[in-house]
Amino acid sequence: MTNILDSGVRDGFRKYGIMTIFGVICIIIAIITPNFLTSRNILNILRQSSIIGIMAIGTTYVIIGGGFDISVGSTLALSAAVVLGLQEFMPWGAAVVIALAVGSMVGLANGLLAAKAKIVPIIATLGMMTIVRGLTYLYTGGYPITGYSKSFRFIGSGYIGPIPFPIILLLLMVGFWQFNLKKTPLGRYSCAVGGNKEATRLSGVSVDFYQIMTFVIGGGMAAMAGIVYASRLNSATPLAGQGYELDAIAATVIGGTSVSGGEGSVVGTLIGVLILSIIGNMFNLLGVQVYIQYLVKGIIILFVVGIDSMNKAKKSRV
Amino acid sequence: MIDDVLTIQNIDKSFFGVKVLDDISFDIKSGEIHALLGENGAGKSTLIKIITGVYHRDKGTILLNGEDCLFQSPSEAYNNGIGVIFQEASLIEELSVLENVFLGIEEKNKFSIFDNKKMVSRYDVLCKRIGFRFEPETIVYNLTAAEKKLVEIMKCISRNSNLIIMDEPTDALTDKESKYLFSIIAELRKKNITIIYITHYLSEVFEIADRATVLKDGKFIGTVDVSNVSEEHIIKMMVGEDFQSSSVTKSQKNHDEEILRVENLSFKNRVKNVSFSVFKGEILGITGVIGAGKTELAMTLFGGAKASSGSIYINNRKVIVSSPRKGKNLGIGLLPEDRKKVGLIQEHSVVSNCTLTSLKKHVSAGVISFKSEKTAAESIVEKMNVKLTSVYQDAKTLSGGNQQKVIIGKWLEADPDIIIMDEPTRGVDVGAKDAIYKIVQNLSDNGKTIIFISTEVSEIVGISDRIMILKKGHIHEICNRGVSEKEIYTKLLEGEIHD
Repeated sequence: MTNILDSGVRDGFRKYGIMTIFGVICIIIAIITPNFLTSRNILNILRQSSIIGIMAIGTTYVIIGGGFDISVGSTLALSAAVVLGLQEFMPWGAAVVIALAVGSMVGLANGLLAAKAKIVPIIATLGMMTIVRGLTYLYTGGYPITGYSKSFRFIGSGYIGPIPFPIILLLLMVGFWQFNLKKTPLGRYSCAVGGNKEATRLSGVSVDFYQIMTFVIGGGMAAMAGIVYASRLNSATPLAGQGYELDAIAATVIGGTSVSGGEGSVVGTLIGVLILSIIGNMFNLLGVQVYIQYLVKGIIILFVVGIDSMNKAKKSRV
Repeated sequence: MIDDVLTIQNIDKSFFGVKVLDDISFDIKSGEIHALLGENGAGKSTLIKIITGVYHRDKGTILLNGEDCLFQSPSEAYNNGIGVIFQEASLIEELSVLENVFLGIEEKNKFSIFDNKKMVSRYDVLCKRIGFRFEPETIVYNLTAAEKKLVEIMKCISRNSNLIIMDEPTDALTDKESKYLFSIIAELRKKNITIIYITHYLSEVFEIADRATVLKDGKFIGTVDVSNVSEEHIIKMMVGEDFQSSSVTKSQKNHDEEILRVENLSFKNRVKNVSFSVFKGEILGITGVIGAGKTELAMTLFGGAKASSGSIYINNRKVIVSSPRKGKNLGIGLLPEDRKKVGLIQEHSVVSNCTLTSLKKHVSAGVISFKSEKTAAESIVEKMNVKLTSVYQDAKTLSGGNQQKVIIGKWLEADPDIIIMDEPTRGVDVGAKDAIYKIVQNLSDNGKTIIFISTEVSEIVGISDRIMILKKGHIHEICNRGVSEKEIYTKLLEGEIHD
């Protein structure tokens, strides 16, 4: 009986806990920092969230599929460099397509290493993280690259009406991938693979294909984040995006995606990203040292994952 | 009485109101090899677990060397001289023989650093005592299955166990290895070490045991001196006389349209050169003791495991079943043996589980229709009579029998011609068992072919059109309907060990 109760609490926490925490944080921040609720500040927060947010959508898929990807920061850097560098030779539209393809190829390599070569995903992507960072250095020669095209900068800095384009892109992506996750076979099978790979295999599903696809989505979305990054700064250094993978993972986990795979949501991840940005924003508005942010972020991650893990441990012991 | 190592008196044990051990009493004499026999579910494992402190008895006493003992944990039993060697090796493969043998009881010097020299000399004494030796630095990983058993024996004796319980020790061994193990066990007896030997193979009993105790349905049937009795006598004890005539009501039907033919199929050394045919609408029962290769055969037919050699024909066409997906597309479904672990995605809803094999049916223009999924799940629930409150509840909240019904349902959604059921009634209650039998019968009446795998002889006899007996990966015999439970038992227990 307590068992059912426990899992009820856990599921409830999954579904509504994040919303509640998000709401409480917003209210507290709105009270202590009067500037927080201005539309300029809110748009600012959203725009800051857009790059990590787009990346974290891919991370969500990977983790739901039972994998892990720490190479996305490097992928962001490579695709940012590619999309700017190629503009010298071709229209920016074509460069964007190629950059997305490059990111997806990195994801494909990750997926093959994890699903076919059976390398533990965190190690497979650790290797790829280093390789891709190396490729970025080779491509850029170690120097920052700047773009040629003016119109390309719209992606990162443009507005549609009063709303910055990156925010629109982020929300579109969240909508698209959330729909895909819940309503298409790709999304369903990704969850199934992460929930129980062997049971899914024994149901006659090509589990390797779907697990690899989650990594491809992970790489592709990292590339898209890289394109927004490149467009916003109109410059890409070989060091771009370092540590972004950790923020993306943190946002995913805070957003309620199960670390062991099988369940999660893209909308939850969006909220996770916003929670992280808002906390950063609050500290900035309050003029608190930036270092404190790390402490707070870390504690939030441990708290959220801790509750989940403790519940699972308790359940398996019964 | 002093020469009794272990005296078991009036042991009772129930789980959830079901008596699994009923007034068990017998004794183990010092220095004997005592075989413990009984079919699955006879209560052997439960008794062993009570002796070693994994479970607690409800009633009765156990005397160890004349003293009352009630162990709280296996390690306490271990410390009191009772060693257990389980079916699965419990050694750490990456460590050396020496490190494994002394794991947890290492010799240390005054700085708490391991003293290898001291350990090696202790190891040498140990080897001399039991009469065999491995190089202490050998990594366990490099040993054969039989050698690993010997290391486990060493481990027991290094902890001064003078009573060693061996659970099916020859299960993973070749016959040659088994013979070697027997010679070691015979040596141990000379050193006054007592052994309780659990086995399915009567031939082994006659080869090494001094006495044998038979349990059946949780009751003590008797203890015999092996040298004084015949094989038939022990079989009789194990099988009993009180057979209900099997509840066959259906008339023998003719199945003559071959749907599946298997030729010389092998899987590693678990399934060896198996050839047979199955006919449309037939229920083929497959039975055999644990380790006979039933599950491996099922997996190989379905594509869950890759056959080492041999061929499979479906409707007279040679097919290669390289993956479960291929199996599904060829019209084969599988209810896996380990229902809980790999039958369902426990954390997902009943609906998603129901449609996992056939999601395509519910997709139009690339989008899943929740409504169509729900209808399908509800029709499964109704057809199979699954007890639940909502099709959206997690699979893990269902009882074992209901989970099995959902698994059958999910496969019916994929509409296979052949359904392989691996221990479909294991761990489900009596009512659900009957329901599953009815479903199986119904499917066969509607032209589905069922391969029904079970260690429970009574249900195999009750439901199958033909019964295939597997022994150590070989087909021992295929019997037609009408064969009695007793005959099947006899066939399971008798006979030589295969080469």
